[in-house]
Amino acid sequence: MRTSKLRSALVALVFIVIAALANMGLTYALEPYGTITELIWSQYRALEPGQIDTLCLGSSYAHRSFDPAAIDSTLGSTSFNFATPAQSLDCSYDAIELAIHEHGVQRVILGLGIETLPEKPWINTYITFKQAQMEGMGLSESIATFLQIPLHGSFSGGAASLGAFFPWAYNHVSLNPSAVLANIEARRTLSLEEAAAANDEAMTAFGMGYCNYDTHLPYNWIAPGQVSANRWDVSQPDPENLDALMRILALCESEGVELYVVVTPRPSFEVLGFGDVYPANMSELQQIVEAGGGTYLDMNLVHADVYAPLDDDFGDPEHFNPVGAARFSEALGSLIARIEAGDDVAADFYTYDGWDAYLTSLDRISIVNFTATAVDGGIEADAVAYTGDPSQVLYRFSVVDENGDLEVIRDWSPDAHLSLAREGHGTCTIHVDARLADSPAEVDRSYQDLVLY
Amino acid sequence: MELFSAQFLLFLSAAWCVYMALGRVAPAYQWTALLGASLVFYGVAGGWQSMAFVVLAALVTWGAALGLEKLEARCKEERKATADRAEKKAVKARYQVRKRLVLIGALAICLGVLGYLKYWDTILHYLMPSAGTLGLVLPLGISFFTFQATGYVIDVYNGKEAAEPDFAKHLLFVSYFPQLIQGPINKHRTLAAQLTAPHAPDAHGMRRGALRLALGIFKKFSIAIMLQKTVGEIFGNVDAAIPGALVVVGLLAYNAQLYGDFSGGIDMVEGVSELFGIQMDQNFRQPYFSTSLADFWTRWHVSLGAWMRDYVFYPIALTKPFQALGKWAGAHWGRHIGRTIGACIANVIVFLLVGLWHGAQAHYLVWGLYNGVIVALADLFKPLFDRMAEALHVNREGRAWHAFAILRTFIVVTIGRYFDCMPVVGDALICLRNTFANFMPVPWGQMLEALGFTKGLIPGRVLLCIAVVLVIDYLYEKGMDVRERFLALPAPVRFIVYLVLGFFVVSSLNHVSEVGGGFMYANF
Amino acid sequence: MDTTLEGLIELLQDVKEDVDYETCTTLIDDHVLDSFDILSIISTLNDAYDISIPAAEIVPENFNSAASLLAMVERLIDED
Repeated sequence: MRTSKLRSALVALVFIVIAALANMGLTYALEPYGTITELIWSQYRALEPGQIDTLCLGSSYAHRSFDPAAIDSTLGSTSFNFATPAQSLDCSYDAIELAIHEHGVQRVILGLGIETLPEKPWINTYITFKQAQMEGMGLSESIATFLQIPLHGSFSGGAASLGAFFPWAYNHVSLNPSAVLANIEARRTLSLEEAAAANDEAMTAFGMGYCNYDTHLPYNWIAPGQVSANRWDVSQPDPENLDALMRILALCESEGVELYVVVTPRPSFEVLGFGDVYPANMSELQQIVEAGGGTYLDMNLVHADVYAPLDDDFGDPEHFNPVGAARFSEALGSLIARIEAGDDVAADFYTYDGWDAYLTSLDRISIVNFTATAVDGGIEADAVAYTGDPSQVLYRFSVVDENGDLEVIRDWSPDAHLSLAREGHGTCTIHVDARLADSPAEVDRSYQDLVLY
Repeated sequence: MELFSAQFLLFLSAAWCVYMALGRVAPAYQWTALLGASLVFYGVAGGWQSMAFVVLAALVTWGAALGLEKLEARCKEERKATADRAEKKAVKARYQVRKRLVLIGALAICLGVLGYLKYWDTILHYLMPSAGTLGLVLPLGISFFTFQATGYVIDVYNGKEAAEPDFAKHLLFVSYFPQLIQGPINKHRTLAAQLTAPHAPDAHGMRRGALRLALGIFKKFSIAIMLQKTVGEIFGNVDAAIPGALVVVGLLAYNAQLYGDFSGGIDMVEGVSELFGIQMDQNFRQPYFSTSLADFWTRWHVSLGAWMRDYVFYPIALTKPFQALGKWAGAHWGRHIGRTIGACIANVIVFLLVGLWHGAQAHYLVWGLYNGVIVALADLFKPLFDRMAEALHVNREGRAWHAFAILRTFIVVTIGRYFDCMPVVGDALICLRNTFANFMPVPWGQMLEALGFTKGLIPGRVLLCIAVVLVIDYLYEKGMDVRERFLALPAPVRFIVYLVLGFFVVSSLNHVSEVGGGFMYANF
Repeated sequence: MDTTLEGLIELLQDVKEDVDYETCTTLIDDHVLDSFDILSIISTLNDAYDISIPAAEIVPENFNSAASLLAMVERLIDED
């Protein structure tokens, strides 16, 4: 009896060990080597103690906005960009605490957007961040850091808390043999920098944590589903995020560190898409930050004579490309330098209370697009042009034939709605042009989409 | 707190250890560990404020059952005291009225609370579309524990069950945590005694329970979760041009998703309960092997069907008006109709109520009506079908016919799903129309492109997992105790199976972070 | 009134043929009878024995076999 129990316990143990080894093997083979989170952490670790005095961080908004060299050129600082993709605020807290401890940083620039507080942490990027954080730690410290994932308030009651033990489930290379072999090969032969560069050819690593992608936002091809307001639910701040923000404010205040909470610029359709929700939510955030002793800068609201992004500065609806980030970072550096010299910069910003003044300043069409619904006998399309004063917009609708040629079906008019009669069923490509009534150009923005009727 | 989470794993381990330890030192009080665990579970999963509703339902049904039993005892005494037959009858009638009042009072409170919380917002919305909602929050699992508790009172009323004198034990029956979120709606006669009986750890029973839990996790994650997004996207934006082919794919996926989610969830909680040595009532019996719609409803959500049958269908069908209607119809329209007409009408009422149980929205009522009417018609016209089969020389005993009947039932069930899966009746009707009138207007690839499904619709691996579940169900249908057979396999084989199934579960987790992991039936 | 088992089985066969009422003791448990059959049986028995079978009597113990049905009928005749 005793020996058989012992035997089955041993068998169970063997199976558990095999399963754990299989899991480790899958993690080794499937989890991509050379993520930018790993790269950023390794660059941070390579710093000499006390080498930096300014820490920029946050999620990808921050990561692709803060060019350390450009900030340093106007602010006279030595900064490091510790922002990582979808970094949650509690991870930001850990990074700030570490940088204060190791480098005595004097200044923290936390970049965020309207989604930062409402969005719950993402398990995949959270795991990647914690894994990179654990690198080089002792066993007990590693275990404690790892257990933060299943015990995290956002994950502990859901499947992610158990999924954390299987990191490859969340982050993996393409599931085909050549991609898996290439990943294993990269682990064996490439440095982190080389692997990161090989993973994405459009990415450039500039050093000091900063890397970016040289893409350009195609303003005439932004579908309604790509506009952030249609993608994220921002109605409720997440309590865990709010708590982390409070802790960041308290930490900076108690350590005597200047904290700048910077809302990174986005193309204006992104702000307009949220409508009145934007000033309502963001003014609450401003109050929280200022009450906690931080400096709040919504860089979407800065006057054009101080800084205004160019169309070509954006890589996608939410992020800058390297040129845009450099221009923005120089302007931000100058602004912070002025603040620290004692200038009052409040007059350089539009305010949430005076929202109409901000809208009036948006005197171009940012993008146009439309949604279409098939009805019996045709298609109903509703175009939306994102601009400060939509009443000044004229629309022109066309149908695109097989050769890509446009046939205008309704010439310029202020009517954004189109009823298009169609017999039977099929597909049809609808094209809309938009221009402001007083625009010098024939067409300001366009959009087209394939519609099933 | 989801069942597949670190939180639940910790909770379950702690509850199990306390339960088994208490069983060693004080077997008579072992059940109190279950009660404590159930209350903690409900507090964490459903919110402490909602706990009042569980306690209220338990309190009302406990008091009513005791009252009913007392009335019955007094009635017996008074009947004994008199020798006169007429007087005995009068006593019985007098007490019958009192008992009925107690029963109605208890049902009115329990079902009234459920009805108010569940339907009032919807009704207000239909009456005054412009008015905002009251924002009533439906306490987790209220539809399930309310039915379970009221079923018990009706059983006591009918003299089928003895009343439970101990409130704490009754509270455990109402709040037992595995059943709390999504059922099954357990019968007092099968569950209550098990809950308070002592249980020692039983290695084999626990292995069976763990296997069932694992199978449930597999169904839930590798099928339901994987399909959730696709189904949502297909039916999220229905317009007049939705191609029938897409609708059919969406409904097939919805069928699989709902089965994976609901039966998987039930497997999980039944498995959890078996870890404690407690068998809950069955809720699924290979529903997709049904040979008729009526058969389907004795295999799908069995515990709700049983509740409706015992407490609504039979009582209605056996009322005097229904019996009289049957006699009248029998005399005028023939014996078959006479026998079935009452049952058919009662059946339509039952299905309307089942629809209403899901929600007060019009589409649930249409769905209920559809099921009720099809089942009723199938029965009314049975002689006609029999004659047709005979005339066409169809062999209804053969395998081909059996397969045909299964396929036919599947199609009938799937048509009903149009109204279950789409929240707007108009959308369901458009989809139904397009299934026949606009099946595939443009080639499949062009359609997917126009609708924005650029990454394909259903991953092949899900089809593989559905096939695995179908094979398991087939073996059960053949009468095999699949779990017993599996546990008899050599350990390395079982280990490899667990590893492979585990791989499918784990690799579906990325989808959970996109769509969330709650149970579809937790909302009812 | 014919309260023999043979008489009862004859009545049952009239409701649903092709069932082995003489030996089957799992008419409910094995889903041999569905709810419509049960209602038919009840109305037939009510007429034949001049009783009134209430919904509360519809439990597997009463309906699983012809013998248990007969026991229920006899009990209800007595109670009346």
